Amino acid sequence: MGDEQRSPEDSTRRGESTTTGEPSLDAHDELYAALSNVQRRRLLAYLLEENEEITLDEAARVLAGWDAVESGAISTRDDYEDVRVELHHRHLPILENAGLVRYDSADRVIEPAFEQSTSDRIRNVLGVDDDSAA
Amino acid sequence: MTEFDRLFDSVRRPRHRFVLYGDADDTDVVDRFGLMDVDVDWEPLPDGGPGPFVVIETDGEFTAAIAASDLEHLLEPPLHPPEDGSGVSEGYRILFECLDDAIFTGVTRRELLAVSREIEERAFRLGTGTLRVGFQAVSKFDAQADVYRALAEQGDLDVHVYGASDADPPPIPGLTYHPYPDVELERYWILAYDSAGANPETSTLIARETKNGYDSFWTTDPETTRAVLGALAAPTA
Repeated sequence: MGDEQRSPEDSTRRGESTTTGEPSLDAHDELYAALSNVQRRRLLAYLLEENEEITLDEAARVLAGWDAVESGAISTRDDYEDVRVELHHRHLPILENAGLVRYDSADRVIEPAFEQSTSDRIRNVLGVDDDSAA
Repeated sequence: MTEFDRLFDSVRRPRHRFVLYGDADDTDVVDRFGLMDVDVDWEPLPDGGPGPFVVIETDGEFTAAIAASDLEHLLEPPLHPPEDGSGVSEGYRILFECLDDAIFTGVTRRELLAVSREIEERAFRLGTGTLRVGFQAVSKFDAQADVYRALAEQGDLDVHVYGASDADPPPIPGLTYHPYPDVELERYWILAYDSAGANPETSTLIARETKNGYDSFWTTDPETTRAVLGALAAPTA
């Protein structure tokens, strides 16, 4: 744990949209950074499926189970606690900064924030058109 | 009602919840596990997500997450002799901890052997104290003779084997055969181990034969273990 803790990508607070509504290149960096970690990608994939708010405990259960399947080893209570702490202190703030989730750190509730603007940003990053708008 | 029936009834049972993440029909594996009084829930996983897995909670707390395929594998456990160093699979050790005191129904002899191996492995590793084992009938003990020869070679470990004497058991130095103290106890497959010493480790497995396999539970509770050891050591009725 913690190998990426100090990397600059994790501390982005830059990349606000410009006044024209076009996301800046820095905003793309923020999205890339958010998607650069396997735990965060797994959480986002689960939130896309659920498409409603989930608790921190639920998120940690899913990621601990996902790890168990990928590693072929049982995830123990300690593994679960590690995942939970890392979500709370590290991954969720990064996802929130990137505008992908809303995290209520007092109530420990995670809400997906996949709005149209997010889809547009992902399309911009990937350089693809929105078929539905064509 | 025997002493062992009373133990089935008297232990406070924790409440277990199994949450299956995957497809609805993957919950079969949980049903096949045969836990009594367990809550089973189901949650879907995203496309491109992992294979199905099971999260086990005990009294509302996360205790383990395991791939459904691995849980399936534990239902058909490979058996290792306790002295070969590999011991029981890590999976069994963890399940042993998180399903302490839970009652299983429809348990097969093979599954009981796997749980028995976990207790035998502890006794072998610690090498002290007392291990009392009831295999119902002495003839059923035959296949275990090599394992128990290794256990009996542990100088500070007392090994006692119980069973209806339907066959001549293999003579093993350091191991004593007994009939069950009461014929009513012959429907029980039992292992009870107390390592003794200053910080004793205790483990017990009690399985009651039914029309459909066995009902069983295991526990690391010292009181239960000592009650079982005492009941087996009692003079023959």
